[in-house]
Amino acid sequence: MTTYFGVNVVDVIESLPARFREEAAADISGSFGYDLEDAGRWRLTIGGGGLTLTPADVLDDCQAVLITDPQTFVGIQLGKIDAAEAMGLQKLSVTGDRRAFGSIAGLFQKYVPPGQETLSEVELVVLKQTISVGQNFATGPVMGRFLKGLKERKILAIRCPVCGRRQSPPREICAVCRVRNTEWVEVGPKGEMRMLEYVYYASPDPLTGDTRETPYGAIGVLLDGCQDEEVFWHLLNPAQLDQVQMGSVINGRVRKGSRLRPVWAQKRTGSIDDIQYFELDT
Amino acid sequence: MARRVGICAVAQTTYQRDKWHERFQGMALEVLEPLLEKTGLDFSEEQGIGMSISVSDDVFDARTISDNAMTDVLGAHMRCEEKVAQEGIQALYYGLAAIQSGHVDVVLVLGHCKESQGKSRNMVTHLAFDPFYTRPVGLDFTAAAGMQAQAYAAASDVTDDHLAEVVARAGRMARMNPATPETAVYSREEVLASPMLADPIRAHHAYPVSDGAVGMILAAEDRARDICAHPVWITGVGNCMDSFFLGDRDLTSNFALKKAAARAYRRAGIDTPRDTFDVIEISDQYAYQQPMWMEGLGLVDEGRGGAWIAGGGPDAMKVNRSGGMLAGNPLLLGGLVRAAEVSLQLMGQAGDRQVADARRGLAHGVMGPAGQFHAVAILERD
Amino acid sequence: MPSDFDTSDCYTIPGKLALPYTYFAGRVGSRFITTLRDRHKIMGVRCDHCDMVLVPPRQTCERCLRDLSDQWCEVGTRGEVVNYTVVRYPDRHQPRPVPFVLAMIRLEGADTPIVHLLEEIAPEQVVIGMAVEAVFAVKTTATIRDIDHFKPCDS
Ligand SMILES: [Zn+2]
Ligand SMILES: [Zn+2]
Repeated sequence: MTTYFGVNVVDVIESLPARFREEAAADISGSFGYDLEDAGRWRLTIGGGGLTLTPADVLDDCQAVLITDPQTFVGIQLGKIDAAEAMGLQKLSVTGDRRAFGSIAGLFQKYVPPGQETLSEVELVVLKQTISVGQNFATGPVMGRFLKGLKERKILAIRCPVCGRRQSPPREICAVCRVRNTEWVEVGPKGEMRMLEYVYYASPDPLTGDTRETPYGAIGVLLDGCQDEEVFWHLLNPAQLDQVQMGSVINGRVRKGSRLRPVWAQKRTGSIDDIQYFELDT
Repeated sequence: MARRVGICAVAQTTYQRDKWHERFQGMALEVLEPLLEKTGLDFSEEQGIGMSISVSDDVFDARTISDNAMTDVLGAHMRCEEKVAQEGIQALYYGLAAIQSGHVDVVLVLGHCKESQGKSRNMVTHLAFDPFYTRPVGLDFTAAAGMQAQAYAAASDVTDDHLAEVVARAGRMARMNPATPETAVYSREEVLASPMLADPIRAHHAYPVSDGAVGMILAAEDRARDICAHPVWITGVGNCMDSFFLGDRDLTSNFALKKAAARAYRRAGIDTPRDTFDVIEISDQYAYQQPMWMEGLGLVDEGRGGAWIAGGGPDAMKVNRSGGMLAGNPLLLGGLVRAAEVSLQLMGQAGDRQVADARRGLAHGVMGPAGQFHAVAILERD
Repeated sequence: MPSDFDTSDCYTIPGKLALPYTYFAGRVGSRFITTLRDRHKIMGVRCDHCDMVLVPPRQTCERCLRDLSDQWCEVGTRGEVVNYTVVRYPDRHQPRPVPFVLAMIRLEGADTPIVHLLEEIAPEQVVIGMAVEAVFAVKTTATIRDIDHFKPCDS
């Protein structure tokens, strides 16, 4: 008898029927071969929620055959060897319908060596923790001017002296032309809806650690006075998620988007939240 | 034979306690613009800068993938951009490798850090520790350094008086360095009277919190000679990473530094490092590290750092003429600022602190608790 | 700052970096922590090749890269202070009001010391080489702080 990792290979394969999870196999049928070199060959037949396992010399009629050495087989069954890795190392191969073989992998409970049945699974310890470090974010002169504008209910953009494109929120330089932006222009505050992302699964906001309420709409607004890709990103009134239309220009075909206007916060502090969100301008 | 790689230009901001008026993009531009002006380079695909390597850290910047907020101010829009989140001198190594491989000819290295942005630098370095084993007891880089300083004090002849002299000298040196306008100049007595921070480290033994940015242009030999008159050649680089857990290490052995130095010396063809360097810049985040790292570099007798300080060794060996890290620059940039300073010395552009006819220098960087990681670069001019 | 730098539009905005994490201790780490928590025993792993007992335990020996995940051995709950510092700067991440002592403690049977709090002694009285023992926490955190702290003991 051949043992690997302290476990007999024949014991492992012959325990397959006992480890079979009928409830998971309702939709699966077919015959599958195991060719474990010197250790032997087996045919596994699944159908009608049941399973039979028989030693077999010839496996040609199987839908798929797994070929590997007995050590790799036992290692995989014990969770000590990764099947995909073994395949990469050419220690394991599947002939025939690979996919079908993949589908039966989840049909069996984990093999537990004799005498260890009563050992409980190791409890896996996790630690939930929110790391939090207070910050003092500098605006610098460019972002500072933009944010001060919001305080006065103005949306400012900065213009590239070379290509003329407007950026809002503004950046210190035009990335395309690699020059400092110099000229300020007021844009909007109304505009056309150009982009909408419905967000159903919100990531935590790294500024608070809290997760936003969902669904919410992240939108790109083409503010009046801007063109092409010069959209301004903000939020949409969550009550109007289904009432807006996205505008576009594709191959010269113009489709008008909803008109939007900003809803200003009562108390404005010079932050992006000075605009609560955009809403339909009706 | 690998291509020679030269440093063609260096630029830096000042290092100050709180650059409240600038976000890090602004600091980076303050470095990028003079580099382009000095070298006449641009970002054209043919002859321009072929790769931008930023040095930044997600936690210090308080944003994930910290470099993606600044590709524009690196000139890297639609170009090859890379990031080093390790000790800044690693960006020099990275650029060297990229050029030696033949992948690119000209590289921009630009590091920034705003230590003032986070509420506490110690809280940031605390996050480098393991959430199950070492964070729960409150470890950070200062506490880890305290333990290393304790062990080093026992294993060497370095006393509190020696460390006071190290700090006092750093202040004196910093006065000659326009990049460190705010560095406090303490007398030895003031240092000795400053309260303990993490015994035996005193408050004045620790490098100040600062904001700043530093950058340089690296180029393959033929390009380097076109770009500037006197390139500074990177002739050897070595680094070494020691164990993560403090208990797995001998804190006084300088194991990683010795390995890093040996690798750099070998590559630079240096058999006897002593009396080889005209200028030396080491990252002394805490006063005890100046003598300790000098021992690890093989430049001072083991355990004799105290006698070296008392005998005027730092002046004689031109160690940290810039003021070193004790004069202030951000954790992340220590080694890169050291390399920039050595370059300025070798280019003859070090102003009041210039070492006459400096031809060969050593720059050192360190990262991780109690010197887990060390990197050494040897720089030379023709 | 350049002398012509106009700071009139510059200001700072308070905020924070706050991210919720779920850290996994790993299989080896989980066994270490549950054993510490439930049985007040401190476990290490032995690398026979390197002839070392490592605490905290880990799956792989970083020196020889051998798998150590089944090489469990128990170490003592007593040990010796091999190094220490006194933390005197207060900060939010710290487990205690300052000053407090952080010590490197080599437990009986272990080769690698761990870092932990040393209490029930004045900081000035701490000496290298002194014997200490673990005081287990009443309330579990499922971390190394299931040892609340170490205290001096007879050697
Ligand atoms: Zn432009
Ligand atoms: Zn080992």
